[in-house]
This record gives sequence, structure tokens and C-alpha cells, in this order.
Amino acid sequence: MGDASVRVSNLGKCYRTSKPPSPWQQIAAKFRKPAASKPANEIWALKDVSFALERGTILGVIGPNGAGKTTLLKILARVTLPTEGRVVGRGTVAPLLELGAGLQPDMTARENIAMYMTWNGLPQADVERRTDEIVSFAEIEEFIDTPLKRFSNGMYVRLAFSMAINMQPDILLADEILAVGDLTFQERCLQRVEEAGAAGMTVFFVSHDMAAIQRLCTRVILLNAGQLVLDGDPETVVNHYEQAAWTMAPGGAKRGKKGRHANEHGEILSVRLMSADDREIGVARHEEELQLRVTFSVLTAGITARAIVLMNARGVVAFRTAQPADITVPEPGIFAIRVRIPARLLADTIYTVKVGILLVKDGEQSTIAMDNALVFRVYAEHDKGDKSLLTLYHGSSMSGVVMPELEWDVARERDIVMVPEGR
Amino acid sequence: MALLTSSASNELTAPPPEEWVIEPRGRSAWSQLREVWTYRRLFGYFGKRSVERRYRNTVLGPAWLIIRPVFPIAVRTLVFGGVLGVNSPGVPYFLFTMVGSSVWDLFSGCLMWSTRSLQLNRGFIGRLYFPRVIVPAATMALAFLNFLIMLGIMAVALGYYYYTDHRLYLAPPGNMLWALGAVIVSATLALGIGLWTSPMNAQYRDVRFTLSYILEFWALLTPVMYPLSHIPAKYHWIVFLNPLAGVVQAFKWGVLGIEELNVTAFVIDIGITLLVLLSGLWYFTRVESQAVDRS
Repeated sequence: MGDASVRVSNLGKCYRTSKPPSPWQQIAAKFRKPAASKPANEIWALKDVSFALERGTILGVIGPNGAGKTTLLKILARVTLPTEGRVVGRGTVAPLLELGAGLQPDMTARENIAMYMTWNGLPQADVERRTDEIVSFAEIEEFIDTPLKRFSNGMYVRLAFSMAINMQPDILLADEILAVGDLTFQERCLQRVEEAGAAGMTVFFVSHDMAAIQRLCTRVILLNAGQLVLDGDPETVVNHYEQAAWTMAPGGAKRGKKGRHANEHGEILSVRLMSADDREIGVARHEEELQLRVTFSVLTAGITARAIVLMNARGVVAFRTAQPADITVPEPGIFAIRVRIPARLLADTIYTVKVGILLVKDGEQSTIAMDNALVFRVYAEHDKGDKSLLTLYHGSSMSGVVMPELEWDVARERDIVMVPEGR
Repeated sequence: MALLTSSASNELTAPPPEEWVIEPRGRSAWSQLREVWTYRRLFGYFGKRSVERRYRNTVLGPAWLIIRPVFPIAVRTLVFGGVLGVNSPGVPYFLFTMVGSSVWDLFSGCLMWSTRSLQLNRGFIGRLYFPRVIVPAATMALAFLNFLIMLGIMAVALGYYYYTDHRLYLAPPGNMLWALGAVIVSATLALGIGLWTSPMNAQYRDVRFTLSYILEFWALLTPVMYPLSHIPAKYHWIVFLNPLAGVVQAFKWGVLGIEELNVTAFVIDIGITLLVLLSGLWYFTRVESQAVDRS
């Protein structure tokens, strides 16, 4: 097909972690010797990434959290500008980055569709036809004039996906679209993306779901710590990703201060979120069992180690869990801990995982810890009844830091005999 | 970038769709401006949103729209017109200061709101693409609404004085064009300055606070609460160094037909306005991306 649909050359994006210098500091810096100026606290979320895509490519973008996947899509969607490099592309772009970005809860579905077309600079002429297509794919025909705030999570997600794909863009940017929505809708999303690819739409498909990536994509790139590690056919890249030990590479984004996670006796290497069948995932579902996988190395012989995991949500510790017994390490080695989190325990909110390991050597204690080891979101498929019940009672559908399934028992205590009036 | 070519572009036979480039510099001011037309409906959206947000969760709601402009003018009338006895040439002081204030408030309101606009709409800017320059321009809707309400109050006041004084203080229709010109110049100048200040304010909120003090002082330098005749004629050129002086004089001349119109000053004001607007567009398109990343 000759011309590339998207050509990315030496793309880089640098974020500053610390506050930018105030104007006074900038002025003061000018009077100081150049050598005295220390390098700014920079993080390259993306560095030297280059690739070119033909039209109709469904590109899978994979990598651990903080690898730069979302940054890449944000640059392509023009939400943020790159620091270096350039992208040349052809045709219209429909971003599906944060589900529901730009949707207005107070407006009806119909109004939101018109609004979405405005946001994407589309003419209003064919709004009617598009609206019909969108609502029928999202299966929300009867709610078209309902404000979005009365929508269930599932309906919201279906509408957002349906809007993006029905704009018939030349390039679709899909970030974790499979993270939410029920399974049948996910299946239809996948089919629709497949068809669109066959019809010449170029798709960027970011997902932690390796099965979906392998099924859908014609090509996959693997990012880690902002760098393009591997670019090739889905099988090769996914295998490479699944087999590699994903250590927290230094210099990447979302890292705690270096140093605390390691000392002379050991180091926390990685903290990952996995599904029950050992796939690495970036988001979780309330209804599914999860595992936290912590790998750490012990460098000194004769150490006893014991780990603790703290799950934080909404600014509090939702719960903590500690390894029930010490492990004794006669020889240095790398260890993997799996913490099984049962299904139907986590609430539909965002969790930050902290991991600490207590190391004891000859009665002397030291700890290694990772404070923001992992951030992930849990989605719950509320059936509508439950959600509206909670909203009615509490005014908010997302509350609490755990949502365990408990045993409920309802029994009839006693009969009420209605005495007829005016006896 | 989402400039739609045509929905047929997905078919392999279709001609290749329009090419775009993303670079660290961002797009030139000119190409952003052309894009504004495609996204023109966002003006209505951001304008409406800024008004709704302003008066949400207020008990009096729309009543504030009338209270806010009238109250300070009533106080001014009492102090300057009543106690200090500032004379107003040929019209009641209330009407005089009302007319001057309306165009001044349009300028200062437009400037303050456009300065805050990027900060207020940060959520959209971090998540969606659209020509950012729409935001400072559309947020000025609040100041325009305020201006329209002041015009309404002015009309009521004119009617009242017609009833009591049996005189219609309105200028002949020919003057009205000057009033319209003054409105356009004051809003455009405010936008030009706002294009400088809004990216700065997204990073450093100090900009907004400093600006509100500057505007307070600036209002005193502008013949809003007093007629120009209070200042000796040989110093008038100093007064007209302030671009708003020419604008306010033109507006008073346009609506009430009072004081003199300084055409030279007004023409110079137009020149200054264009200069500020163009330099503002250049600056804004150069820095908007970083300003939002860092705020």
C-alpha cells in the first residue's frame, strides 16, 4: 500500500517530576555559574521510539505499567506534545484514551454524541445518521434521551466505545478498552476492531490482555521504561514479554525514590498484578480472583525474610496482609511471592500497593520497601439494581475500600395479621 | 487533527487522506487558527459552561447577574456623584458612570476571565485535543453577558430619566458606530493580553492576583468615574497614553454623545490592539502545551 498511515520517528516525551523553578529561581540561576546548576529531575516517559505502520495495521502496544504506552497514545491524540522527534500520519484520529473523556453526565446520550462530534471537529450534518449507528451498536436505543448520570457503568462504556469507532476514523487509539464492559460487549468490540482493520483503519490497541492481543493484532510493539524493546509479529513479542522477568527498570515512570527498595541484603525486583491464570494485567475485575506477584532477591546467606503487603485506597489502608511465617534463606537467590486475592473482595476503586520485606541477619533487622509499587483499578459489573440501590442510599456508587461478598441470610420471623379496620 | 475528510476514506480505493505532523514545537499559530473554524461550536460550549459554573450553587442564581454590576455603580454614584460632587457633562451622574463602567468592566472582565480560563478548564485540556485558543476567547462570554445586562439597566435608566427629566440622553444613531467600535476594541485588546497571561496563570496563580490589582489602579487612570474635562487639557495626551482612555471616550461619545471624541487616540488604540493580539497569538501557541503539562 506504499504510504505509511503513521510514521513515528525518534519520539520522546520528558516529564519533570519536581516543580519547575519559579521565575525568581530562573533569574537567580542566570547569575550563577553554569556549573552550579544541577540537572532537573526529569523522567523520560518515552525515548527514541520509532516505527511506521501501514494502513489497516492493528498494532498491539504492550508493556508493564509505566512503560509509556499511554504517553504514546496521548501524543498521537495530541493531548500532549512530544519533547523530541515527530509523528507523521494520514487521516482522522479518534482517541479512546480515558473512557468517557469529555462526556457530560448532565447531558443526554443524544446531546453527548453531538458534543463528541464537536470535540472531534466533525461536521454536524450527518449527526442523525451517526447517532442511530452509535446507539444501536451500544444497545442503548431506549436511553437515548436519558442523561448519562443515570447510565450504568456498562452503558457508559458501550456508548464511549461506540462513539469512537462509529466516527470511522482512519486511526483509532484504544487504551484498555477491554478493561470494562461485559464479556459479550467485549467480544463485539473485538470483532468490530477486526473488521475496521480489514477495512483499512489503523488501530493502536493497548491492552494487558495477551489473549486479545494475539487474536486481534497484526503486529505488536513492546515498550518498557519508555523504550521500544521489541517490534514484530504478535506471537514473538507476546512470548518475549511473558517470559521476561519484568524487573522495575531504573529511570522509568511511577517509581518510588530509588534506594529504599534495596539494601545490601536484598532488593525488591518487581511487583506485578496477575490474573488467576498467570497473565499480567493492568486492571482488575471485582468478580475475578487476582494474584500479586512480588519478586525479590536475597544477596546475603543466612537471612530470614518476611513480607507484608499494604493495599491503599482512597487515602487509607484498605487492608494489610502479612506472610504467615518467615522464610529462611541459606543461599542467595531470587524469590517470588504470590499473594492470592480472592474474587469479590476488592471494591470498584483504585488501589495502590505497598510492599515491605523485613530481613533479619544475625538478629539485626532491616527493611526494604516499595511505596508505590503498583497502582491499579478495579471495575465491578454492577447489575443496575445494586447500583441504583447504593446511589439511593448513599448518593454515590463508588464508596468503601473493600466490597467483600458476605453471607446473607433472610428469613421470615413472624407473620403479621392485618386486623380489619372498624371492627 | 480530527479534521474529517470523508467517511469513505476507510476504503482502500479512496485517495489518501490529509497528512498531519506532530512535532515538539506544536503547530504554527496560523494553522491553529484555521482549525478554530472546524471546532467553532466549542465557543458556545465553553461560553455556556463558564456562565453555568459561575452561578451554580447560588441561592439568588440569575439575580446575581443584576446585583453584581449595579451595586458598585450605585456606591460610586453615591460617593462621586453625591458626596464628592464630581460633575458629569450634561447627563445624570448615574448614567455617566454607568456607561463608562460598562465598557471598562467589559474590558477588565474579559481580561480576568481569559486569564483564568486555561486553569479553569484544565480537565478538558489534559484529556482532549482541540485548538486551545478557543478557551480564553470563549470564557469571555461571562464578561459579555455582564455587559449586556448593563446595557439593559442602562436602557431602563434612560427610560426613567426620560420620564423625570423629559429628556432622552441617548446620542444620535450616527454615534452608535463608535460605541460598537469601542466594544470590539476593548474585548480584542483584553483577549490579546489574555493570550499572554492565561498560559502564565496556568503555571503561576500570582498572575491573576497581580492583574486584579493592576486593573483596580488602571480603572482610576481611565476616565470612567470622572469626565476628561476634570484634567487640564495640556495633560490630555498623558491620559491617552492609556489605550483604554480612547476606548472609553469613544463609547461615552457613542452612547450618550458627551465629551469629545479623540479619533487619533482611537486609531492608535486599534493599532496597539492588533499588535497585542498578534503577539499574544504567537506567544500562546508557542507555550500553551508546556503550560498545561506543568500546571
